[in-house]
Amino acid sequence: MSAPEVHPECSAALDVVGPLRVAKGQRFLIIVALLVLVPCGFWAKTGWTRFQTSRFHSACQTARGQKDWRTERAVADRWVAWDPETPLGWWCAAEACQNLEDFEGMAQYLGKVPQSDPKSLLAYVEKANLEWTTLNRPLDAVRTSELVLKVDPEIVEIQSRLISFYAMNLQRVPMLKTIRHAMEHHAPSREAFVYYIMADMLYFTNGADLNSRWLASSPDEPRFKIGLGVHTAMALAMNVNTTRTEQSVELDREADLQLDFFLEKNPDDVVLLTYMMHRAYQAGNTERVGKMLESLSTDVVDDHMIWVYRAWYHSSFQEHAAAEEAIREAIRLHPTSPLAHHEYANLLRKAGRLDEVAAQQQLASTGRELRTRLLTVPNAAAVDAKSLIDIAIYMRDCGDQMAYDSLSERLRSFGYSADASSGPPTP
Amino acid sequence: MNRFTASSLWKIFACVALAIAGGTYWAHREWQLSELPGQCNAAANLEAWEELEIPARRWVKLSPREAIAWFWLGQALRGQSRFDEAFEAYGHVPLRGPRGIEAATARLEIQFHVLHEPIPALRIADEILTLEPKNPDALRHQIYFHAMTMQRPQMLAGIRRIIESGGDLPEHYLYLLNAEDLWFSDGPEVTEKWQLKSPDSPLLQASHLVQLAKRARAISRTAPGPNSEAEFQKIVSEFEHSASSLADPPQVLEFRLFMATDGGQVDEVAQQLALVPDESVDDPVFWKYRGWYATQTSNLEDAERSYQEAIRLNPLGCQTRHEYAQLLRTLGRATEAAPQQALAARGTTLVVEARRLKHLRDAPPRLLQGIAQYAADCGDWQSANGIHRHQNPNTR
Repeated sequence: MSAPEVHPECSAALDVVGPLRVAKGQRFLIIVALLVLVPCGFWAKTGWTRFQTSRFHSACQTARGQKDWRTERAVADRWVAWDPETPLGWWCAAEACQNLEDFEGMAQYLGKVPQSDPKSLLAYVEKANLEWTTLNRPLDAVRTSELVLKVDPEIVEIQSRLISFYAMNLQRVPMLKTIRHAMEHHAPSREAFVYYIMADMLYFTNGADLNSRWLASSPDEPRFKIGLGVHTAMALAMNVNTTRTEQSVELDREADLQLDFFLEKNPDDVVLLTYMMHRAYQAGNTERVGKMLESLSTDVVDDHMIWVYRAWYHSSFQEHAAAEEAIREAIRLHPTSPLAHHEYANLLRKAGRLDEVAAQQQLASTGRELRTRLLTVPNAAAVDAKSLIDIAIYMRDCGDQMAYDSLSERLRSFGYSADASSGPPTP
Repeated sequence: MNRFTASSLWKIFACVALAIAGGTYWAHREWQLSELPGQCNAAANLEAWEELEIPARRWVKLSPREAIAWFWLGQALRGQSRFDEAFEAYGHVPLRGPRGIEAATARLEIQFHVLHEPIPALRIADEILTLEPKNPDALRHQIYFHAMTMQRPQMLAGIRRIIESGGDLPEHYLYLLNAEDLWFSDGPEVTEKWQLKSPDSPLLQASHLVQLAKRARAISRTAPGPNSEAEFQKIVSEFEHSASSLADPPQVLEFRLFMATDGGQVDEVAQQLALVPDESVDDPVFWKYRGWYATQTSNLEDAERSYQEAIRLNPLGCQTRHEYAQLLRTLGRATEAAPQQALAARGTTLVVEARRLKHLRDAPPRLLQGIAQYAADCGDWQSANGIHRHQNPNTR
């Protein structure tokens, strides 16, 4: 293999330059120049960045002083385009949007405040609040709220919004999960304890309105359609129970047909399934419950009510072992479930274990009484201290230690104690 | 030897004095220019408009090309209700520049509400919208004007646009609800003021005539009596007399169609429908009349298509839904007719409630909630969501 040929012109040039030799002195100069230039360049860049930042900042401040929000937004836009990592630029842009009543823009800017900013969490909280209220974007709001809680689980305001959303949308499992998460981080709101105790059957007088509101923001979202459908069906069913007329019965039947239609389209939807099972359970329709249990996918086994209905189903066929296994799973998933204790008591009675019945029956009836009382409260946040103390005692009796500790702590912060087994609250 | 004569010394002295005087003037002017923005801003924050006028005028005098100086002067004059002067001052602020949109918005408002010249005012709105397409003030003025002048397709498109941009007001949903029968209790007075300022505008003339006639008809229906009926007939004959000079603008055609369908005059409806211009293809009301005519002439397929198009263009139209339900019943499709009829009944109740309001701005939350529910059930999710955004939910 021969060496590559050098072009004659290049060869002539190499002859002129000669072998490249850099004198020692020159090398030293190059090193010194580099040592000087690199830091100088760095300082120049830093200085320029600071100068520009201060110019943008001052322009924003001037515009703000003159309430010239359009100019502030325009300057802030240029600022964040030049340096997207600047939190102040995003804040200024968001502030300008707020004053221009451009809440959509405000939410967008707040969402872009970099996480490195110590106040970024405040920005995300504000964004979540806008999405929950003025913008009515519940799906975005859930995402933003989850992001906030990931960073700081102790923000009660956002915990409360998220828990209320899951409750109103009848999503029992995420609701209980979020409440427990809040309990772990000492951040549950007052109403969270009410939802916790009412988790067996969630129903709210304003539930249909809220689901309707959310559905308007995302008309194709099945969760909102189902939330609205189930709330409407529950209201109609209650209407039949209180004032039975031909018309109310017909409406109730139509609502059930609508839910059947939803179930065909969403066979794994746990909200629908548990409501339909509840209807069948109330009607004593074991066949229907059995069919629905057969069709279950593994995704829904986190819902304690599925296990309660499974236990009832097995129990009605005298399959005591399977029933007990199911009810224990229900109680493991949600120890403070009055209906689970009620079914457990029934099972024990059927199995002839009468000495164990009393304890479970007591838990069931206390839970039922509590539920009845809580249903009369105008809204969950308005629950009184006495009821909260009773809930705490019930949690303790059910062996739900974490929930009990959390509520006791909360009660202490209000100046009450849950240590008394019963009786009036002690301030 | 002294090289400087007395005369040259004087010249040097004069030059130095001039330079000092010039420098002092320049320094004083610069100092004033640096002080004036702060003074204007402080006075504006206190809403002390007479006090604001002093630095603003000085600033304008010192720097007549400074847009912000003119803006502050405009603010000062507007605050003192000297609208003509304010309008002129705002006119010196270029749209594309600091305070340009605010100044243009102020000019728009003065021209629209004080000078009662909506047509040139809306040209300003168009300019604002080219620069800022979501500008709520410009869009709101357009919608109000289109509603008052019964330019339904433009009004519907404007409302959709403003809901999308988030600048919507509660009354916009009442315009949507009443879109099939656009008339306002103060409509004749408002359109009269506009017409007086632009007497050659056939649009304003027609709008005024129709607003008058529709109000008279509403009065004769809600408070029937010989006087109100006579008044209505008088206004109708005046309407026909004046409208004959106009080249059949859609508003006039719509009123004639309204009267003809009310009186069951099928031939008259056919005649008027033939005059409907192509640009009214997006007007749901003409589709409704077409549906009525097709039903009367037993062209039921065409009637159904027409009603469906009217509902597509304006889902909240309860009159259309009512007529559509009747058609469906005629076609023997009772199960389809029932929900349409139910919606029509709910829509009518809401329209009646809205008509009872003294002003559309006074719509109570309960009425808006009802409209939101109605809109959702009509499949108009955008309107439903728009209303919900205005209401603070109790999520607990």
